[in-house]
Amino acid sequence: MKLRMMLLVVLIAVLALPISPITAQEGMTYSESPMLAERVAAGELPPIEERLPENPRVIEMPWAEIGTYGGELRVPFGGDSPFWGGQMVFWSAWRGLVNWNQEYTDWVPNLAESVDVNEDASEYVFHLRQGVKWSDGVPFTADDIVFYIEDIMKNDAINGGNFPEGWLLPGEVPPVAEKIDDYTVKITFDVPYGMFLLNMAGWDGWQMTAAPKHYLEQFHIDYNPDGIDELIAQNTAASDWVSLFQLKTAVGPGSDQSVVMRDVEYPTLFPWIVVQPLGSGTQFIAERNPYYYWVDAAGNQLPYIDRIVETAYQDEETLLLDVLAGKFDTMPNPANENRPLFFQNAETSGLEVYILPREGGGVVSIMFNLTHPEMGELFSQKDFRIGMSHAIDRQEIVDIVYFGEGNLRQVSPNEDSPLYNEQLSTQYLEYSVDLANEYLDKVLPDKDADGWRLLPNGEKLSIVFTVQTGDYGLNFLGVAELLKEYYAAVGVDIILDVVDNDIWSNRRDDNTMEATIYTGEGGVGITSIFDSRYFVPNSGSQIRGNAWAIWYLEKDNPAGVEPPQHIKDQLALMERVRQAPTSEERIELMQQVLQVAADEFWVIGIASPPTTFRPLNAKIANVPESWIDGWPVGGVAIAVPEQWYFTE
Amino acid sequence: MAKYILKRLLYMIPMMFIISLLVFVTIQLPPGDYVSTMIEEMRNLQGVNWTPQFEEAMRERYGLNEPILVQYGKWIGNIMLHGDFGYSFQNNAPSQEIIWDRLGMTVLIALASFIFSWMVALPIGIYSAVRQYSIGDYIFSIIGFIGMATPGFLIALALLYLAFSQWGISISGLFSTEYADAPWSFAKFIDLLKHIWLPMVIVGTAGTAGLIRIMRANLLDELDKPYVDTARAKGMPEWRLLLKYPVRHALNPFISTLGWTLPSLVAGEAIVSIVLNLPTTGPVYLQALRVQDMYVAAGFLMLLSFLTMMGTLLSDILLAWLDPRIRYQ
Repeated sequence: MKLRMMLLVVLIAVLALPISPITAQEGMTYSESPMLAERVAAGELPPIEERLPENPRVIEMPWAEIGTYGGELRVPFGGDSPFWGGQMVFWSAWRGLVNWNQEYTDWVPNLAESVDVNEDASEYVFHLRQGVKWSDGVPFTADDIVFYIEDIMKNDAINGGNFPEGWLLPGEVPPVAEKIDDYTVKITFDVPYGMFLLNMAGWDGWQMTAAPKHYLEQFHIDYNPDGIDELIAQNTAASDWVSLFQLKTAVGPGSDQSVVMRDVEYPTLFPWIVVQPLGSGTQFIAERNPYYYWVDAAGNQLPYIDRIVETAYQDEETLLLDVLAGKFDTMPNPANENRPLFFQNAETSGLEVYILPREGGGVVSIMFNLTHPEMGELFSQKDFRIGMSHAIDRQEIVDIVYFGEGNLRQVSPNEDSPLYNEQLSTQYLEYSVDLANEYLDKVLPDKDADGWRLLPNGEKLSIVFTVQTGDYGLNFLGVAELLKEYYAAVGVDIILDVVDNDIWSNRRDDNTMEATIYTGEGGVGITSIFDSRYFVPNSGSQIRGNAWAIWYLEKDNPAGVEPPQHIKDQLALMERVRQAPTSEERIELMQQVLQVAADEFWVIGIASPPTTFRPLNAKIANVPESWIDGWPVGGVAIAVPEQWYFTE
Repeated sequence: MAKYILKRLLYMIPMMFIISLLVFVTIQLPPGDYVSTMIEEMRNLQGVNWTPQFEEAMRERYGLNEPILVQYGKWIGNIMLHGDFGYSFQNNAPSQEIIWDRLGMTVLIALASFIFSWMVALPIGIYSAVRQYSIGDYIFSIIGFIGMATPGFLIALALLYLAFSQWGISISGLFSTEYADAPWSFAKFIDLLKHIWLPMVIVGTAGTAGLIRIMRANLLDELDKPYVDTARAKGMPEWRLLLKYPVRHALNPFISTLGWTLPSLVAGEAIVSIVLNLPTTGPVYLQALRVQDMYVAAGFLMLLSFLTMMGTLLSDILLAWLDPRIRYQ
């Protein structure tokens, strides 16, 4: 019965095509999922025309065709966090005011139809898509954005007295958000901020469009001064309005973003909304958002798939086994060493494997902490780092650890990126023990009887490599074990200290880490601009300039160390990249940043990142042949899951 | 008897008090707290940086900057006065909700495993003792030793793999997908029965092997005693004799182990549950310890201690009832 009805709807949609020519906006007739049509017929929902904005975003991807509605996407996830685990729902939250384009070179409009930027890029006027509605049917307007900045981020009681440092604070003074009319909002910064829209297209941006004022204002003392006490009294965990607000909001200081996955009352703009949270069971269910503002070329409201059912697993092996047994339609973050299993068991699993290039300037980065209290002086000498780079047999690492995948190179933007820097990419790659010894002899000429190099004070040099166990599938330990051998061959003793991620973070925070192996962001397109951690010490997850980054990011933190002038210059140059109003200026300035990074040679790389893969039910259509997998670019969101559909 | 039970129950009150103090101190021991975990997450994922003001505000909000005794006082006061076990930072919900929600399934699996292990261990233990050094005794002994030596989660993994490689099916979980979140119904109950045998056997196996050995050894001690010979000489039927006298004696140590059987089943299922992906308390407890969600962890520890004490009491009462020679003093 259901199927027949679905076919009928599709038939009607197909028949309707020739009659109503598709001019994207005007005269488009809209169709909806049978599931929603039932609810409209029952009077639970307004008709589709009233739910969609005046001008829905029409999605036409070159690989996609018109799909059919229905079906349930079954997804497993590891751990207890429905937010991070629930990846299919979470990645599709990567839809802010603006989005990335498919090549990751620029932004495209999404919830904002257009953006006016003034000449020095300090003033942004967003023209919102009129009539977009939250998942509870209330319009999304300029008020929601003003509420987020003015009433959440800027509220001294919520933020503890300081506007949070981060992407919304490019200068000294917090931005000002002004409502011009219901669908126009202006955001003004105290300094030029050309990177604003690109940052917004990435991870940071979703917070801007995730603060539904009409829902959250009841928990805010400025909007509900009379009723708030009663709400506080009802909630056993809240002691005052701030703690109540922080419990209820998904965004802002002190909030927990998993509220969007846990609280079914929280309105969102996501394609799928959680209707049954994880709770005490092992499953949560997300259903299509009846108010989602995307349509396909034929006017069918997206997404096609009706429901997402996610199951929590505690043990990765059990999860894998169940995926291979055919219990699921996809699997997030499969490890590369398990790739053959998916081919061997394609029949039982019913899954097709998509091979994906990985965002990243390198597979891993090897970093010596130049700011370490004792070892920093040694690590600061470029000859030391050059020697340590020549000592590595990169091809062997690629062959043994990464199954032969990857071209040897340092951490750098890809060759086809506008930011490619040949020197940064190819210097000091040659594997030569003699060359390595030559450079190391300049810095550490003395050796003991067993051939181990000695520090200037006569003690044997031993470098502790802190390696974290949670390695994002990159096998840090595999690399570290080989490094130990290579460095022993040139007389440098390495002590491997394999620790839990929390301990890794602790050592970073008190700046006691000497050296480590970590990820290698910054390869595809212009991603190195907004994830520049391996070229500028401006992020916590790079270790080579750790104490400098702490100084730069957290002024009151006693673990911070004021960097020397040339590092300050590099940080200032990166600020200019962030401010540059035009794309050309931005790229030109970033090239300068990368040239400094090339000359300084702070970080040692191994090779380009190997591909990764994503298994997906073979019956799912409208999936691109391949897409770039990575954090700054939004994971699977780039493959437009809204357009996926089940062929049977 | 009633007086004895009452007395024992009264003793439990100061005992629980001491345990609660220990639990609270233990939970505070690891470095860092939930706020440091949270700030780490903000640093790494939200693109927001640390400020001392914010950290202070968060500590204040969660009451983590007060002296440990004040924190303890509030915690234990809320438990006794309101049944409020504190707030789960990670789940944004009251701790007791997190614990109670999953306790039902845990108790169910623990009880099923308990019954399973007794039902298997008793007859096999008796058989092994009566037919000492027979082929059957050797076979059961070997199986028993293997069961004792193999951790439950390993058996679980092996069975999961076997089921997949032989029949291409998955046997994890406690319900099929369609019933996992459905309200209770007869169909859901049947579905539960289809799944529960696996955790029941796995959790029960380790205990079963131990119980078989205890039963066998105890019974062997009794079988050679003169009263057995006397009864046999009087012409009592062999099986009736066996069950009525020596087995009853041999049961004493069996019963006294009940005290630690309950908590060990609850704690023992943790790792098996993780492997089999069961909605029980174990995985939640582990997660709470990992992210320092201290009130949930403390709640669990309290619960396990309480179960141990109840188990001990229960076994003492049973023992007294089973063996009249034991006095209530």
